[in-house]
Amino acid sequence: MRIRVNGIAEDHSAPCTIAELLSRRGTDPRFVVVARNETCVRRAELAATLLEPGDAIEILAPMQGG
Amino acid sequence: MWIAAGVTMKSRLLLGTARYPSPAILANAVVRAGAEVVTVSLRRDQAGAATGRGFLELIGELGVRVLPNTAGCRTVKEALLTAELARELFGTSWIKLEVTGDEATLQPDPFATVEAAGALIARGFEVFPYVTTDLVLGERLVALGCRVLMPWASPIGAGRGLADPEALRAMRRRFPEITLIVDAGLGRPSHATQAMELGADAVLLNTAVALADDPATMAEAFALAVRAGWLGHEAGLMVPREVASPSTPVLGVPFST
Repeated sequence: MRIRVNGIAEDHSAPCTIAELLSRRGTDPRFVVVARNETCVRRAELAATLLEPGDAIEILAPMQGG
Repeated sequence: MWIAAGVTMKSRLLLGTARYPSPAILANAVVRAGAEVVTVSLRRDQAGAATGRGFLELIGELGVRVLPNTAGCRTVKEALLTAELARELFGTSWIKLEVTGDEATLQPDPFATVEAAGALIARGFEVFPYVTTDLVLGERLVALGCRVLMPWASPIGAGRGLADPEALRAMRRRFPEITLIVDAGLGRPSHATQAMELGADAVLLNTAVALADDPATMAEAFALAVRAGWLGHEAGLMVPREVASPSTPVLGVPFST
C-alpha cells in the first residue's frame, strides 16, 4: 500500500493504523499531531484509524514560532 | 494587570520562541522578559528526532501559556487545518491567525483572514488575528467576535519599528474595548515603548530578542521598555507644543529690571 508521509511516498504493508505507522518510524504519539487527507486525527483515534492506499499523512511536531 | 481573551495577566510582553541560538538561551530570555505567553508553531516531524518533545517539555517547565500560530499558511483551508492541529497538540483554543497575502512583506491577506476568523470562531477558537492597521478589516473581525487584534508595527522581522504610528493611534481610538497587541517589526526597546505610549495593551516580538548578541538581556530591556511605555500612557503624556515654555518659575527671576 503506497501512501504519502510528509510529502514523501512510502510503501507499507496493510492493514496498518496511524498509531502503527508512528511506531514504525520511532515517533512518540504524545509529541506529534497527525492530519490524514487534510483532516486532523484526534489523538484518541490514532490506534483505530486504518491507513488506506493513497492516503496523505502529515505528521507535525511542536516547533518554535514567532 | 490586563486581560487578553478573558485571561488576566501581568506581563504585557509576549515573546516569540523562534531563532534563538539554543533552547537554554530561549528559556533565559522568557524568564528575563517575564513573559507569560509565548508563540509556538507546527512543522513536519523528522522521523526519529526528539526536537518536538524537547521543545514541549521546555515550554512546560517555563510554565507559560502558549499561543500557537498559523505562520506559513497562504489559504483559509491551510489556516483552519493548522489551527485544528495546533489545538489538538497544544491543548489550547487560542490561535494566532496568520494568513500571508504578500510574500515580499509577509502582509496578512485581509480577505482570507476574515473568512478564516469567522470559521475558527464558529469552531470555538479564540482568534488572535495578525492584521495590518486597516480599520475596516478590524471592524469586520470585531464584528465576527474577535476580542483581540494584533496589528503590525512594520513587516515581520524588519525591526523598523512603528512605520505608521498614526494608524496605530487610529486603531486605538476606534477599538477602545478591544485588546490591541502590536505584533511584528519592533527592533528596539524604544519601539516597544512607543507602541505602549500610544495605548497598545501589549506587544509581541521575537526577532529583536532572539537575534540580539545577548538575547536574555535584550528580553529584559524590552520588558522594561514595555513597562515604561505603559506607565507613561497611564500617567497621561503631555501634549507637544510649538513653542518653548519655561519650566523654572519666571516669577522672581533675579537681575531683572
